[in-house]
Amino acid sequence: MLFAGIDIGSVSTEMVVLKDGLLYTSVMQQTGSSSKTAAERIVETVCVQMGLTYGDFNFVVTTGYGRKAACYGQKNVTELSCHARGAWYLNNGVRTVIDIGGQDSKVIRVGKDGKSLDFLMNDKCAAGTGRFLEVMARALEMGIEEMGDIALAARGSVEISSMCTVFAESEVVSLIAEGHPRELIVSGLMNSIASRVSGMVHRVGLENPAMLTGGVAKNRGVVKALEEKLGTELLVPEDPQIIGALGAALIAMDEYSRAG
Amino acid sequence: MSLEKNVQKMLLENPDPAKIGRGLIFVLLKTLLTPASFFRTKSEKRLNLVLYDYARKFFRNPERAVFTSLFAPIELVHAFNLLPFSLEIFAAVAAIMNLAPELLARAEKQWLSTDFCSFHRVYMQLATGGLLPKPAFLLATSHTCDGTFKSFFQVSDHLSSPFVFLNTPYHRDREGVRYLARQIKEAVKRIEDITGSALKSEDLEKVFHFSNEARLVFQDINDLKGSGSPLMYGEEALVFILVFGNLVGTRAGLSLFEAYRKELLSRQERGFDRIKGKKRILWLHLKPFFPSALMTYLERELGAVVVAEEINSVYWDNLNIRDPWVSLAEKLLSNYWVGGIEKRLGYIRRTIEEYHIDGVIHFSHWGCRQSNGGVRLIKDTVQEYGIPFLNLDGDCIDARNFSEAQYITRLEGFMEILG
Amino acid sequence: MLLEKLRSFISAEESVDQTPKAGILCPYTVEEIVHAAGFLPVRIIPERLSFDIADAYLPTNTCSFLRHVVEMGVRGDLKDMECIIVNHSCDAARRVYDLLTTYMQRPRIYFQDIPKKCDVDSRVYFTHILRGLQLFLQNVAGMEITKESLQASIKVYNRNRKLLCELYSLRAARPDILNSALMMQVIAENSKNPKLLMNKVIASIISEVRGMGTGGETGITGKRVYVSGGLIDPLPLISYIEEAGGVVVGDDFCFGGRYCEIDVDEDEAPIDALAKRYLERIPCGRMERSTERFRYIIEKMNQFRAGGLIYVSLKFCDNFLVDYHLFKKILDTEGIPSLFLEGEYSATGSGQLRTRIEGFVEML
Repeated sequence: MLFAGIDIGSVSTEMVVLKDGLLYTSVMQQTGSSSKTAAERIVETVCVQMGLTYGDFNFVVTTGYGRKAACYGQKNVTELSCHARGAWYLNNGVRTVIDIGGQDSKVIRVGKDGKSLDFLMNDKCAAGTGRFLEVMARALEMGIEEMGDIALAARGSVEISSMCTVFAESEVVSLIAEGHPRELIVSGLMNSIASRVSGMVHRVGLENPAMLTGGVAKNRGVVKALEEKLGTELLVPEDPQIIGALGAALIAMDEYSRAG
Repeated sequence: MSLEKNVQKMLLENPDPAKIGRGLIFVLLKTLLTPASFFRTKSEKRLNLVLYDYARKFFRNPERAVFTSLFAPIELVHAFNLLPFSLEIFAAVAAIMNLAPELLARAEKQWLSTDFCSFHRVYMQLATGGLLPKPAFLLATSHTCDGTFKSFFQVSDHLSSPFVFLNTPYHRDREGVRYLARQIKEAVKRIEDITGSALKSEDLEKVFHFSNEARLVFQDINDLKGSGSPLMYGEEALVFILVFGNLVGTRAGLSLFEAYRKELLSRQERGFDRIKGKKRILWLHLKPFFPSALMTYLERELGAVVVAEEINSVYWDNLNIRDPWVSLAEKLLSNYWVGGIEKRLGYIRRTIEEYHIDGVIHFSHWGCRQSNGGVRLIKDTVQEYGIPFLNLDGDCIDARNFSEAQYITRLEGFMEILG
Repeated sequence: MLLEKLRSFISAEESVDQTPKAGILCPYTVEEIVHAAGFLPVRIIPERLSFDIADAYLPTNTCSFLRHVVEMGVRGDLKDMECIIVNHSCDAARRVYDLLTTYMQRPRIYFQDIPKKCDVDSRVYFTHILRGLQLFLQNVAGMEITKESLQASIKVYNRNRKLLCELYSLRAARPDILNSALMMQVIAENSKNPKLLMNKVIASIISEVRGMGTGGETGITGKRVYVSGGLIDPLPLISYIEEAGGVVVGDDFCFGGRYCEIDVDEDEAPIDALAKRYLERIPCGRMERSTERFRYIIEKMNQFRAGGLIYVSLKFCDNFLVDYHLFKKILDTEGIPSLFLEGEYSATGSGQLRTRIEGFVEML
């Protein structure tokens, strides 16, 4: 039995394939300017990799920003339910999912059966998303990948008070000009992003254990800052970016058995 | 659509209330000629006719025109045989006619912050931009919000038109009721001075009668909508306020809603089942009035039908002609948006229980601090019943900040929770 | 050196002072009644800059001052106070009261309504409200508030207002000595220390400054600026203005310039006299007479010879923001240069504010 989930986000697209109930393969690509094309590309890549055709899949579910634009999938489900389901698959105890993506962030409360119970989305404001880190990395003239480790090594931090990414950027530029050490600024930025995200978490309500997903979860500086803000340890999966697609694939499997 | 574009052009480039009054006849004709099948209910066509006919009357009789705030005691104005028109309703109509973007752009040039509720920004622009007639006076209450008073004051100042202002106290205790009742009595005297005519008690009695009758009919409509399978869509019901807010206390207002009640009763008797509702929703606050697919998507595509709306709730008791000022004061003070949040939470609890609600949606209109500040408390109250709550950030008048895709994801996510 | 004197005076008394505190947010709270109940009215001021849990209670597009208050309340930062009084200063304040009564365990909290009008009818109603406040405070204090104790408190507060007004006039004459840092310190201390102590301190500062001679304009090189604003944290703002070469010669802050105007009539029955004074004080944006504030500001600007106005409003504060819309027309007509600033409660970290202030001061 082959099931697939395709998560077409605004920045990246992921596809996960389940074979006989287990995670078989996952692929990630840049979305580019067209969701439709992104879906076509990723399906082609996976099929070539696995030596299959699209028709071999028993059920496919699409999710993410471009879920309706894709010409594939028998069903589309929001990334909210997919993230809940994917996280729950990795750990049945998970009760809160915090997803920090490239351009959006969301918090989802998960029920005992992996269903989403409540959610909060931020897809309007760059603060609290990967974009925030991108902008700041440019201002600090460092690579995003370095930021996490630099923050972890820093002793202390400089507080960034601006809520808005654009204003925070100019604040960072001023701080550099004033001679503040870069590590302290980076550490402060981790706290900023953690502050925004924890605000969202508290609006939904934090129930432990909580899992952090999305590209930004790979940044250990953010993880630590968020753990400190929330006062709790966070579960971080090995591949935090495929959770949406994984959930979609699992839902595909559910839908197939439901159909009899 | 080119008729609309021409109307828009005319309205915005050469504002002339008299012309607008004449121009509204085309809107009325267009509505009349639109086949009944185009509307969701027969009464909907009638509602549109009543709305635009009254607007036309308002424009063509500026000496009788009165600008009012949405919850002002308009029964008084009708009793003087004057024409009250809520500025908030004007803003909503402007949004319906797609005039809001241009009006908002003009407002921004005048140092009006975009954090300020778009209802106020748009009607201030309408009133000070020469698109509305100069009224005999303005009548407003301090509820529901600070912005109401600030905006009305500025409009009154700009047009040099007298402003009759009622300060609604926070508490509905004996002193609060008395204070407001005294103000209402004073307001009547002031209106008599402005208009040069005395209020006749038989006129007030007639208006009270229509208001009380309308109240009963409205309650029936709410019950018909809330019990049993859905008889009409919430998207349509959320437009009731555009007529009720101006015509409560008049025969025209009463007749329209009697027609609605009759039609809904008939649907119920016939076993109407054309609305395939999967879930029953309670809707709090208002909806986007500019052209938007949000509610259609929610109710038709997703099958979550709004069976109760907060804005249509009958929250007040019958008006008593033997104690008119106290009676009106009690009506104003019973509004859920006055004072603390308890009244609002009480309404939500009662409605969930009585109408078997599956989920509650709060539309957070941008800048509406008195409403949006209560979301946490509302959410906790709704979750006491174990049913899901969705807070939908949006704007009733300004289409610019909120994209359809964002709405759709949230609504779908909510449906997935509803199960 | 005046600053040191101020600090030492206060710290000496502070360690001795055991008066139970009552938290207030807005100067429309009738402090004399609170004082007469044996409490020390203390203005609640946000200390932290960031929000950790405020988002869970109030939307982000709510006034940051009130978001800080809710955050402090829910975290338990206010639990050492005996009670808190929230006013009907605005719509958001109503929701703050609802939130704090639901989610804050301690202390007890009272909602004081304020009429928007100040006619006789409204005064009668406000008197009723104040009696309610009195009953609440008596209940918390466990003792009666007598007419005599009210009259005594009124006297103390009237003296405080007089002294503060005098200090303001003196500051406009000698902004070189009574610089803004000192004035803001005085205002801050005045909002959290016993008025009897503050009266001594302010009187002492006044006599010392007088003793330095009325040197007139000597030593003042900056451009004279008047600042108008609501509940914003003035310290960083004032420092930006002075760094840009401006000299603040007056302000109409809620707990500053507007706090000290107009006394309570000591011959009238206390509650009635208080109701009258508080409704007739120089209004804030929430009142029906809010535009009278414009006249007051222009008068003060003339009196203090200020060359320009900086109008500050908290972001999302409708009452103050919409007022500027009308005020600007008057300022333009009178040819008064003005700068409009909108910001969060704490103005720090904003290069934007600095740039605007510098540009404005350069222009004067």
